[in-house]
Amino acid sequence: MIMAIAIKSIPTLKNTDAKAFIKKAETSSKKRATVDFRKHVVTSHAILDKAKLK
Amino acid sequence: MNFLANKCTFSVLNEEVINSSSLFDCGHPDLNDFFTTDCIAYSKELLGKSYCFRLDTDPSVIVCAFTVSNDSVKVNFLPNSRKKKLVKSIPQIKQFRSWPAVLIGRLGVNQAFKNIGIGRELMDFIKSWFINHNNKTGCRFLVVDAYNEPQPIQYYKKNNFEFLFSTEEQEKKYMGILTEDQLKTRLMFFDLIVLFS
Repeated sequence: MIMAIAIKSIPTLKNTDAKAFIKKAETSSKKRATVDFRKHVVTSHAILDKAKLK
Repeated sequence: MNFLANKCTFSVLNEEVINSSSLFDCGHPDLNDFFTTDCIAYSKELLGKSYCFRLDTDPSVIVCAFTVSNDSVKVNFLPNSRKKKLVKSIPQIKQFRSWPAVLIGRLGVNQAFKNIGIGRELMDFIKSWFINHNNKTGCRFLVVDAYNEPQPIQYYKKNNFEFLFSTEEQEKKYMGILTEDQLKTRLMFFDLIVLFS
């Protein structure tokens, strides 16, 4: 079982939480496109083609 | 991503699919209820759209299902003096106070298919779907409100999600939950920008 629940909105981050989040986002930006996901993207195309969903 | 790609077909989880499916059991009553009834109302109200993978050999079997909604991660930033200092090192904040995100509102894997990597395949598919060149909107983050229990938290961590708030105390404060009360869910996020497609 893997789960996630309640569809609730994400609260607006403030002050130190906002700062921490932005730093994480910036760190990720520096690592832009460093995780090779091409194989998964190809598979997802195949899944969507088979489903006739794009 | 072999089982879902080779042995299942992806589809919208709509009334027709639900009516032609056997009972979906991911081991959690609330999620089961949602995927068998409530998801239709959510979809009609445009609050969230649900999808599933069905077994090719028996399409009445739903292997896994999830619901996604548009959302965003918003920051209300620092006082001016601190802001200036940070702007210098982080130019993006000049432009972005809100990042587009997709909220994975619900996600469940049929208990009959657990421990064969379906959860990982499903998350890889969701990530791929939102960095797909055919995606109609921009999306920087995947966000999930995960049950604050070891198994789901471990699942999202294994899929490289991070907590939106570093401590439960912080998250309780934002959510208006009393310190002594239990935090039932944790907001977690994954930054899609790291993925190379």
